[in-house]
Parts: sequence; structure tokens; C-alpha cells
Amino acid sequence: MIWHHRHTHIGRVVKSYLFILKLTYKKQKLHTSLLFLLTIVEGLVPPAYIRATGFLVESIESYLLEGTAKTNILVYAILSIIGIFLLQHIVQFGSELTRSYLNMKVSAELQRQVLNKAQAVDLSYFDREDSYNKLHRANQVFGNKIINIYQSMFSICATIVTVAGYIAILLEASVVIFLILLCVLVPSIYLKMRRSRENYEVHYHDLTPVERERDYYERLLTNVPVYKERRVFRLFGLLHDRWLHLQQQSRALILKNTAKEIRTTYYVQILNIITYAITLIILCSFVIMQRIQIASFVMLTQTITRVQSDIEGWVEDWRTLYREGLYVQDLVEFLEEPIRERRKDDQQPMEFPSAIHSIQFHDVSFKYSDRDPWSLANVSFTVQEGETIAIIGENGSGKTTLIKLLAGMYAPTRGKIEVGGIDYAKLNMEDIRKRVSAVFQHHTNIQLTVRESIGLGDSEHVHDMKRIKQVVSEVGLDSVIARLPDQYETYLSRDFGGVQLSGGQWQRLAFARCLMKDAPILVLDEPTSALDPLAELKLLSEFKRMAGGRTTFFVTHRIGSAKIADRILVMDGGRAVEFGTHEELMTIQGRYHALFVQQAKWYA
Amino acid sequence: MKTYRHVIRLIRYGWKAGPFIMMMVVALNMLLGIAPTLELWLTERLITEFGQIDREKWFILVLPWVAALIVVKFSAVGLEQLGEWFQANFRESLKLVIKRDIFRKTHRTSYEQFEAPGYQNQLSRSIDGMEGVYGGLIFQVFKVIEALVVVIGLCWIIMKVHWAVPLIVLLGSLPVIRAQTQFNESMYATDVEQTTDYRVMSYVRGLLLNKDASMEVRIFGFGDYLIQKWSRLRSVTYGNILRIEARLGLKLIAYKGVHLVAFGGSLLWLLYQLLQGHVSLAESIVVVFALVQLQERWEWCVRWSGWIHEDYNRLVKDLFAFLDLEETKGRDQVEKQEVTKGRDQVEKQEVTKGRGRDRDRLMNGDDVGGVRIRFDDVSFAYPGAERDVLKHIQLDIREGEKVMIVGENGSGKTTLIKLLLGFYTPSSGSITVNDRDLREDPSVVWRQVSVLYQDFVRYHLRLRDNIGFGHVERIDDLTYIREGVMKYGADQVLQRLDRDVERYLGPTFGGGDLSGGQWQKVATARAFIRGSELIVLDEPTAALDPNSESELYEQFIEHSHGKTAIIISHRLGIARFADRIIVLKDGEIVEEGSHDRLLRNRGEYYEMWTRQASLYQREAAQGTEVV
Repeated sequence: MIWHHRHTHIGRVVKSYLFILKLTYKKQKLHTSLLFLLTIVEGLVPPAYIRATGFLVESIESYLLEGTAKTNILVYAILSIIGIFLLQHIVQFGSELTRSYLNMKVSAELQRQVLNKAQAVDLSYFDREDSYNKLHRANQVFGNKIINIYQSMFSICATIVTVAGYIAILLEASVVIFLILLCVLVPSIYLKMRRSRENYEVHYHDLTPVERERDYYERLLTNVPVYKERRVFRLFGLLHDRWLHLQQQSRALILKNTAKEIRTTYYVQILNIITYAITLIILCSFVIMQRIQIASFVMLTQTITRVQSDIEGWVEDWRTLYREGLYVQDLVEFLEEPIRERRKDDQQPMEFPSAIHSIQFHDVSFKYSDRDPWSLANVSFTVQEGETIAIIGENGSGKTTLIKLLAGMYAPTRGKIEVGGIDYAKLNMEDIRKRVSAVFQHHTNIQLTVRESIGLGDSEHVHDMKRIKQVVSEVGLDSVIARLPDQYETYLSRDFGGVQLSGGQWQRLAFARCLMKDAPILVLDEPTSALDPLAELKLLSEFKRMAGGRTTFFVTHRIGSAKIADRILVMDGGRAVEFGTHEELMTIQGRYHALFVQQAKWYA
Repeated sequence: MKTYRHVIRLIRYGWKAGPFIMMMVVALNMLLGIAPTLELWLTERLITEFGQIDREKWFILVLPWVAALIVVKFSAVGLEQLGEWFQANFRESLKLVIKRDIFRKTHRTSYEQFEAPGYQNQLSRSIDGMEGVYGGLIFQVFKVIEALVVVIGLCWIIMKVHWAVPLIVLLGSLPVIRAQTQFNESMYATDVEQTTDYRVMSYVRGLLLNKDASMEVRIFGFGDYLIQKWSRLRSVTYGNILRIEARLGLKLIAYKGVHLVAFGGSLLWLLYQLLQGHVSLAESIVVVFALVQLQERWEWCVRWSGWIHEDYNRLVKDLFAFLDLEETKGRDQVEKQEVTKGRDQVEKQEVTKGRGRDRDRLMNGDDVGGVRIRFDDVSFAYPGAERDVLKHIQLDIREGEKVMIVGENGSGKTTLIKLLLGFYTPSSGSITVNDRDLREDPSVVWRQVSVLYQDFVRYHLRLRDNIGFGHVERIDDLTYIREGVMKYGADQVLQRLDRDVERYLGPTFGGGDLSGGQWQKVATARAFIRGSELIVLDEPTAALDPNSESELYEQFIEHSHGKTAIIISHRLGIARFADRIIVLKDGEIVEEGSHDRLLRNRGEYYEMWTRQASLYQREAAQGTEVV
């Protein structure tokens, strides 16, 4: 069973590497071929070098023994040594440069694909824990990982060429020596490979969890909001000690693993030494029998040593590839993640209705995943075009989920949402999203320039200053922006040499971004939670004008603000419990009334 | 001079990581360096035998040298593996020592410094860069030490023919070394120059992969715009690097030409000497191999020292610059208190002594405790900013007083709190807590305060940690923690976790994620559990529904009894319960007094209150009538 599992795993890893290689070749045919060529030449240099040296000493030996000066042979030998050196430098430079270029292009391509994919996957992908981890690992494509993988791949090719070259030198002298080397090669590679699998398992099962926790504590120790808490709660000692403990734990695991590693290497090395001893004696007998020159003897012993150490390095490179296998596999799997089709049947998606008329929820239920409880249960209501609807309810009552369904972020698990009489499910999700603009509860503080941060609400108009200025004045940010050093081109982060906004200002900016987009439906999740009372009231009083007849849904915790809505939807435990105007709901003295009274008593 | 000092300092770190281990690593690497020379020398002895022996007894004559060669190999392998182990040990120990210093450093810097973007960057560069130090730099340094020993040995063998031969090879590479240094310097300079671009790139990419932003990316469809922006920045920055690599790389090749000519020259010179016939055959063969090896090894040395220089630039400069940043005075004592080995004992004492006292205080809470806070003409401006965020603040908060601070967004409320907590130092004026100046020792206030920040932390750790962090001394007392959870309104969260305080919160370690409101309840319980004499709430109700908001206010009123409390809120509902309301506008106190008095004043506060209350009042009256 285990073996079976492992096989599929390795198969997937191999497939993932092939994917990357194919991509590289497809995108950069010329440079990949060039690099391949250069790698082969680079690999040929060491054996050529040692052969040329052997050639030189052999000529010296003949000269000293026979006394005949074959000057031209000596000169050829020296010239070839120097030539090989020169070639090596040039090839090295060329391959380093090509490698950098390929890194730049291919990593960029992979990175761009990851970013594109992150836009294209279904939103629920971000909620699932396994996929979240996968995304997190795929994210490492932005570091040095890909470069190291490439490095190992090329180095493996180069080493094969090098070893082949050495073997050719050995074969020239004797087949026996080659055969002996071969005999030892197989068990030592097997030993090493088996060890790396164990090594991998230790890393994956024991070390990774410890290091993940350690890294979390490292983040806590360097995070700004944590700093404020750790000062007043005097947490530093505790966090530091826990970090230290985890660090020591990881250290112990690493050292234990290294010790095992060393033991294996030692066995392999002993095998190598035995081979060396045998071949040395054979070579000695060859010299005595005058099958080879003394100079060749030195050359051959050196070659044997090099073959052995090169193969060590070669196995090491394979191990790197193996180690990074899981990561590459995650990356490729992420890139190959299917983009969920909008609808289950094959029908052509319908056009979004030109007039909304009404939005209807028919028994809509929703859960985030099979394991989760229902977030919405049989919600039904009808909203007319141009109405403003306030959604209220306690934390966790399903308000935000409702907003997400409306915005086309998720599809209902059961029931249907209709707009202008057309089922959401019959529309393209993209199309729905195009018709909705939003301020989400955790609105993103886009720390680029002011212009971008607002203009990205409609990225086609990100340079349209007239529109941007218009929405800015609507949300009352114009005086703030006028005070900024570079006005609309000021970066909203001190990291990028700009300024930092306050929470309230950010919220207004999010509102401005929402207004940038010309959409018939607005959804706003607590759009005023960070505003001060005056600003909130001002925004609310102008709210309807800004909405400009668009159908609007807004979630609020400040019950008082719900009054400005045409109708109020009260949520409780995933159900829509009340729906009506403020007056109606106050009269029936239900849930809304209770919440209202509770908040009003603070102002009584 | 500076470089020299840095190197000494790096060595000192090695010493701190373990003097024995470091010495062993160095010694083993040096011993290993002898092996190639020894091998060559033994080979020479061996092939000398070939010339003289008769064919019958060759085996016996050759055997001792073969045996010696194998012994050398064998010991080399043993030493190498031993060295590997010590090196791994050294690397891990060094990692620990340096990281510990980095984290301790963060504890000795003031908040003002800590939150500055420059500091954060340096911090993350030091930490990220550290991996390079133990991964690359240390390994390379030891390799170079080994290679240098090899080079010396080889020179010794070659010098028997003529002293000048190895010298030419070594000197010939001097231009390469210089060019390499230049290369590294300009690469480093370019990196520094492009730092902001890198940061924007990584920020943009973070936005695109972030869970919270994913909805906005989808609704506004700005993903493509961001990807384009990222691609543009990437190709510009990487292009710059590639250009330098190509330009300086070519230059490097030219200098390598010089090196090559030197090598060719020395080879010819050697050959000339050999062909004279003064040197024996065996020696000649070995010397040629020695020279070729010398060239190879020396190349390595030069290349490696180039890498060392590169890593050194990138890592060591950043690291030491970070560790040398100015520290704030008066923190050392605090640190010592917190990070001493005897901490456990102190803790235990406190726990046993504290238990009874805490209970009493929480139960009756009648005695007027609390702290007295005085702001004397305090002004504050952010470093580098011209405008004062706070101007001439005069404030006296008595023991047991409840003060509410209100004001528009950006009026300086949060800054005031940060000053009070000793995170910022006033530009002028002074702040005292119980008559002790905060500038001298900000820990005066830390010891007595519980804070609920606007941007409280969601620790993705166990519930026990999330609550217990508020009272570290008793973090292992699970009953106490459980009581705290119930008492301070986080019982709903506890229920979600099947009443198990050891369960993780948040997705990082496989716990379920909580809603914003639930997180806030956890943070509230954390703030309250210690029962401090000073309570600070910085906009605590932003994410709460009306029910939870009321609960929090009621809790606050209950638990702050007899204590000094400061609350910042936009929701004025609670203001009536405050002894005093302070209205901030543009960094100045414009109004001050009780709720009733300020309403009578008909000033800023009156305006805010009536506007906000207007949303509730009429209907509230109606509501009560019906009830």
C-alpha cells in the first residue's frame, strides 16, 4: 500500500518537473537550447583538462626517458591546457548569463501564471485549508526556489557529461577499472537515495511542523501590533522562551538527522576507498607490466578520485530535486487547478438583464463547505429596483454571507437568486460581478497611490482624474488629499515613501473606490464602522444621493443608521426573521425593536 | 577598518555559538587541506619506486606507499564527516545566537522606532538574510580556509623546482579579485537603489494572493491591472541587474585573461626547468599535476571569496547595521526582568501570592485604586513631520477616574494613547504616571495597564494563549484562564471549541477561524483578565453587534470600578458613564467636562451627541412608551 502511494507520488513529482521543463522550452527555445549546449561544454571541461594535463606529462616523461625533444607536442599540450581554461571561462560566463536570463524570464512567467491563477480560481479555494496551504507553498515561486531547482537540473546534466568524459579516459586505459567502479556505484547510489527518502520523511513529518510554529513565533516577535501588546502584557519573555524552545527543538532534529546522514555517507565512502585501493594496485601492476606510462598512472588515479567525488555531488543534486519535489508538485497542481465552470449544464450563459426590476431570494441556503454549518437557511425576500435595504443582525447571523451571495462571490448551495426574473445560476458569475460594486467588511487598504487606490474600482478609468476627483469630493476626502505631499500620486504607505491614513480615512477611500464603479447594484458591509459620528452622519445623509437610484444593500451594526433605508432586513441565525420599513418593524415589536431599544438606551 | 571590525565581530559570534565547535570546525578544515598535498607527495614516492624496482618484488616495494595513500584517504574521509557534523552543529548554534540577538534587539527599541518602515525593513532583511549567513557564508569561509591550506601545500611542492612559478599564478589573479569586488559592490548598490521597487512588487503580489483582498479583486476586476504593474516593475528591476551582470561579467573575463596568461607563463617556465633535466622524472610529473591543481584551487578560492564578499555585503552589513541601531534608555532593566533564567521562580511566587489578592480585588473592588496620569504641556510630531499631531495637551487624570476621549478621525486620539503608553516620547512637555516620568521608565505604565487596541492581535495559537497572554504569570493555570474566559464574555468562543481551552484558533495551525466579533471578545477577555489598575480601550466596539456592544460597555463599567479608565470611542452612547469627556480637535483639547456639562455648553460635543442620538431618540421614546 505504502509503496503504491509512494509511486504515484514520485510519478506526480516527475510530471511536475516535466511541466516546468516544457514550459521553459516553450517560452525560450533559443536560450534553453543555448544553455543546454553550454552546460554540455561546461561538463566536458574537467575531463578534457585532465586529459590534456596527462598528455603533457606523458610527453615530458618520454622526453626525459628517451631524450628526444618533441617540442611541437609539448607546445600543443600547453596550448590545449590554456585553451581549455579560456574556453571554460567563456562558457562559464555565457552559461551564467543565460541562466540569469532564463531565470528572469521563466520565473517571471511562472510567477505571472501563479498570479493569474489566483485571480481565476473559485473564491472558495481561499477558504479551504488544504488549498490555502498549497497556495502558500506555490507562493514560494517568488523566492529563490525556482533558481535552485534549475541549478540542480543543469548541474545534473553537466555532471553526467563530466563523468562520461572521465569514464572515457579510464576506458582508454582499461575496461577492468571501469567495471570495478561501476560495481560500487550502484550500491552507493542506492544507499544515498534510500537515506534521502528517510531524510525527506523526517523533514516532512517532524521538522516542518516545528519550524512552522517557530516561524509563527518569529513573526509575532517582529510584528508591529504584537509589539504594542507584548509591551503592556510583558509578553516578550514568554514569546522569546517559546521561540527559543522551538528553535532548539528544530536544531536537535536537524542534528540528529545530520548524524544519520553522515553515517550513510561514511559507509558509501568506505566502499569508495575499497574501490580506490583495488584500482590503485591494478594500476601499479599495469605500470610494472609497462602497459601504461608512469605519467598516465598519476592521471588515472586522479581521475578515479574525481569520478567518485563527482558522483557524490551528482547524487546530492538529485536529492535536491527530490526534496523540492513536493513544492514543485504543489506549484504545478495549483497552476493546473481547474477553473470552476460557471454552471453545471452546458447551456450558454444568459445575458445580464438590462433592467433589474427586482432582486428575489427564493429559499436561499448556503454553507461554505460540507463540514460547516448552514450560514444561511431558507432566506426569501424581494427587493425592488432602486430600493435601499439595510441588513442588521448579530455577529454571525449571516449578513456578510448574504452580501457575498448578492455580489456573486459564491453561488447558493440551495434555492435561487433572481435578478430581473433571471436565475443567477443561468448567468456568468463574472457578469454578475461586473454589475455589483461593493465595500466589504474587511475592505482592502490598497497602499498604492491615491489615484490607483481609488481608480482601481474601475481599472479602465484609473487615469481618469475627473471621475476620481468627483468621487473623492463625494466621500469628503478632498481636503485630506489636498494636504498630501504629492496629492493623487502619493503612495499610501510609508514603506513606499508615502503617508499612512487613519482607519476612517481608509474606509472613506474604500467607499470612493466603490463609487468609482458604474454598477446598478451596491453592497456595503459596515461602510461606516470606523467613521466618527459627524462623518458617519454626513455620509449617511448624502448616501441616497450618492447611490443615485442604484439598488443598495448595506450591513450595519448601528441600528440608528438603518432608518435611512427604505426597508430593513433583520437576520438571525442565518434566517431572515423580519423585513419591512422602520415603522412597520417598530410596531410589531420583534427582533428589530429589541435591538433598537437596546442601542437607543445609551442615548436616552 | 570597518570591514576588519565586522569580521572580528562575526568571529566573536562564532565564539559565542560555541568556542570548541568553532575551533574544531576550523581545525578539521585545515587538516583536510593537508590531504591533497600529502597525496601528491606520496604519489611521487610511489612512482619513484617504479623507476628502480625489479619486476619480481614490485608488490612488496610498492605496498607501503599504496597503504599510506589509502590511510590518508581514509582519514580524510573520517575527518570530513566529522567536520560535517561539527559544521551542522556550528551552523545551528550560530543561527540561534544571532537570531536571539536580533529579537532581543527588537525588545530594546522604542515603539516609535519599531513601527518606522525603515526599521521594519532592516529587521526583515536581517532575519531573511540570516539564512544566507549560515547556509552560504559560513560554509564558504570554511571551504576557503581549507582551500588556502591546499594552496600553500601545492606551492610548497612546486617551489622545489622554482620559487617564482607558483608566485606568478597567485599574483596573476589579483586583477580578477579587484574586478570581482567592484562587481559585487555595484550589484549591492543597485539592489539598495531598487529597494522601494522590490517592496512595491512584493506588496502588489501579496494583494493578489491575499484572502481578504480576493473578493475585491474579483468584484472590481483590478487583478489584471496589478499583474501588469507587477510585471513592469519586475522586468525593469531584473533587467537592470542583468545588464550589470553582462557588462561587469565581460570586464571580469578580460581580467581573467590576465590570470590565464600568468598561468600559461608559469607553465612554460616550469616546463623549461623540467626539460633541463635537473628534476627527477617522478617529481616532474607530480609538479605538473600540482601546478594544474594549484590553478584550479586558486580559481576556486578567488571565486569563493567573491561570493563571500557578496554575501557579506548583503547580509553582514544589514545585520550589523540593524544590531547597532540606537536603543532607548531605561529598557535594559525591563529586559533583564523579563528574560532572566530565574523567571520561573519569580513567577511561581507571584502566582501563589497573587491569587488571593486578585480575587479579593475583583470581588469587592471597593477601594479606589488606579493610577494618576498627568500630561504637562505635551506636544508631539511624528519624526520628520512638520505638523504637530498633538499641541500643548494639559491633562490630569486622577486615580479611579473614567475618562472618555472623543473627536473626529485624525484628531489625535490614538496618538494620545500611544504617548500615554510610553510608545512615543513627547516632542515637548512631560507625561507622568504616579508621579514618575515616562521618559525615564515607560515600564511604570506597562506594569499597571490593560489595553484593548483597535488593531488587537489575533494570535493563531491556543485559546489558552490568547487569553493567558494578558496575564503571563498565570498562563499555565487553566482554571484561572477558563474562569477569565467566562467572566469576560468569551464563553461563546469557548463553546465553539467544545470547552477546550487548548484548541487552536485561526487557520495557521488548523484551528477554525473566528468571526471578527468573536476575535474581539477574545481580545477583550485578554485585556481584562489581569485586573490592572489602568484600563485603556481604543475603539473597542467597531466590529461588534449592538448586543455585544452593550455587553462590552456593561462589562467595562463593572470591571473598571475603582480603576482609572480611558476609553476612545466613536459611539458616544457610553459617554454618560464617564466622569469626564475630553474632546480633541486637530490635536488640541477643545472641550472637557462631564456629559451634562458639555451638553449645556452646546459646543463640539453637543453637536456630535445630538446628531448621533437623533438616530435613536424619537423612536426610543416611542419604544419605551409602548413598553
